[in-house]
Amino acid sequence: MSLNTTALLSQLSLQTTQNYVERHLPSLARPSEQDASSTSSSDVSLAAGTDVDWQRGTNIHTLDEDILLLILSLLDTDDLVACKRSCRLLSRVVANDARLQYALALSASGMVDGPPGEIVLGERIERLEAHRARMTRLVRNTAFSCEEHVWSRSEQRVQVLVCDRTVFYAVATGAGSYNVEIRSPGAAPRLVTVQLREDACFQAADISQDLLIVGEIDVMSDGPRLKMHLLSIKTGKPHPAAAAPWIGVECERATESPVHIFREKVVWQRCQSDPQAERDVEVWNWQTCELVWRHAFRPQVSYLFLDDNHLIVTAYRQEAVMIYALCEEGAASANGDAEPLLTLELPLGAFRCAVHYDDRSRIHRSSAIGGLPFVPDPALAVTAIRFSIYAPELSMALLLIPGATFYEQLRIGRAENGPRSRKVFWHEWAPKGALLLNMSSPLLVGRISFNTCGSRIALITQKTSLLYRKVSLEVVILDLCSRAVQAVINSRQLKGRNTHRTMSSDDASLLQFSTLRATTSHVFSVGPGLHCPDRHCPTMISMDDDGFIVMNEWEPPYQQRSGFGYQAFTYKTRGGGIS
Amino acid sequence: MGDSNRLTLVASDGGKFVVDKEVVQMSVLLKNMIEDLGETDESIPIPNVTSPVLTKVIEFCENHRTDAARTDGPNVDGDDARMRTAVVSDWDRQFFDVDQDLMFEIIVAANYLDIKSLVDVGCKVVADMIKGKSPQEIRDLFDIVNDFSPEEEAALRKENEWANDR
Repeated sequence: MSLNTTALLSQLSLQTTQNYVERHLPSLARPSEQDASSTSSSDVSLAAGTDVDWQRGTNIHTLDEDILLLILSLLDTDDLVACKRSCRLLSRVVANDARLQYALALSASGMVDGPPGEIVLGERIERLEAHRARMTRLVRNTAFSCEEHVWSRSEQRVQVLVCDRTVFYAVATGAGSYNVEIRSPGAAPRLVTVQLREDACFQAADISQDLLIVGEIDVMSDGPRLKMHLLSIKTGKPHPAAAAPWIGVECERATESPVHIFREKVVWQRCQSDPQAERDVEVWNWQTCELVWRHAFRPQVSYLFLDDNHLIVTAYRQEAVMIYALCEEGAASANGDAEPLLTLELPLGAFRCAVHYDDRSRIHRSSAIGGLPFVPDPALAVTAIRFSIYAPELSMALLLIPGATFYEQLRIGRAENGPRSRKVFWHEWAPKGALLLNMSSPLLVGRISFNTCGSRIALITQKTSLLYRKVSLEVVILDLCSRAVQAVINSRQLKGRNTHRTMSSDDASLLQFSTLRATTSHVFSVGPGLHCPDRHCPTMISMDDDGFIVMNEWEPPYQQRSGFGYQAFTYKTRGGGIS
Repeated sequence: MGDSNRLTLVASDGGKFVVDKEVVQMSVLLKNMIEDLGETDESIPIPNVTSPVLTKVIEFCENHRTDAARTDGPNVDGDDARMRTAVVSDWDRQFFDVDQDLMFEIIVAANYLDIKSLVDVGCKVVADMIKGKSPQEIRDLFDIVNDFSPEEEAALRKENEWANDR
């Protein structure tokens, strides 16, 4: 029996390379080139069973690489980088593991992994590298090339939508259809005809999903009904991925309120004739055409998706930013939680609060990167909230809040009191989690609409030359991404100089953005000067991944629209990427 | 002897430990072995594990015997994400409040004996030790020598300049 046991044990010992980690975490198992080294190290530990003093010098370096990998896979990317920089062994272990490399590359490019699917890790890494090479220059580059388009048509009402690099001009033909001219820099303009009545309202576009949403009032036997048409941008016909050509909304008039698309979800509000009546804000799945969430708010409510499952809401007389969780349990729970998951209060005296959106023409951002297996990190995306306030030298403010601030507060809320609603005072969350810009400063052109693009935002400032009484316009770009800030700080240490400036919490005075001590570090770069054509003035600036587009209109006020044009600024590519 | 519910484990230095079978079976390696051996009075040598380490391993298994069923199952998808956010319990943290040599030996032994919950907790504890530290602090923590040349250090720094500098 004793012999038997020993034989069995030695047999087992021979299999020690196939230990717990390898048996249970096949995804951690490294390529065959690694197997040789791990086998040999295990052979040593086998030998330890007989003669070698097992106690001697057990430290992190004597651990099997499998265990090291298990430890490293539990770390955040910042910690992973610290490990990589500590010694050769850890550096090699990180460098040899595809999953860790992918995690690092995702973090470096401000992305998070998408849902697991058919795309294998190797291909994900390849696509990410390509994407990253393109994105890297955004952090570094202040050189732009400009392409200009001036266009005018004055007889008809023109509706303008901007999504990423694409501008939509929708003009009613007067014969039950719209001609939509689709222009993007560097491409020939396309014309799509959409069969809709003249009072149709072009609500939203999402280029990456080929989706165009147009509202149209239809008078049915039981009263008016708003049809939200789900159209393909390419064809102008109903979108092939949508279960129905349109979603019917019980509503008295076409909504002038914004419609936002976030992947398969879309949010809008049902407008009422009575301006004092409460408004239902509804989240729909546009692909299945099912209602996901609904909640009644006071009038003048505004909203934006934080991510797939959270909606940012603020209302006119509600001095706070609220986060609601959307649940997808079907229509039964579609009324959602009455209580917001999180309430972030704004400074005392704030009023007329709104999630910033453009209420004249509409700016959108594609909510997905077409076909890529990773998505922009929602923690980096900045939400802009504007509000008015009675404060010294400040009447209109713009608050830029990185998604990370919301997630941090949600995390604290979950840890402290579970799923219940949580309220946070301004001074508790804002000082390190938001950037407050003074939009009443004469230097900022406050009337111009803008959007955020991930962690970046472009604004227009003006300089007045007293001598000639001439006003010149300049674009400034703010980037709140901590990665971008770090890259600028580090590259300054490496090279001694660069074109960007970073603002720390104490350094608030560039451009005289009064900050009310609510500030987060960011990169600040001065973009190109704007040279508007004669009698034009900019009305919108739309940031996108490749640069930004400035929309111009002739002879404001804009109600009597008489002409449109745009200037598209594209980051100039410099030779060679940054590894 | 003769108690079929108890087994004797022999550490590499000869130390003997009489342990409940149920506790021993938290080790997948030993569990399989016991099944292969069938009923036996023989003591089981654990050639790779010394007495102080085996004491700790048994202590852990004794404490966690009740939740053994939960950790017994095969590794499921998303386990990594779950582990990343999991919090080490107070008992486990105190359990690993030992000098580093012993800590790593426990992890190595747990890996060898195939005790999933102990490997997981051990790795989590080490990961928590690393968190928030600079490269130099990590070297100090684990007594590692910086074996990079200045050029390599500069290259690594440049390559990772997007990360928060520590």
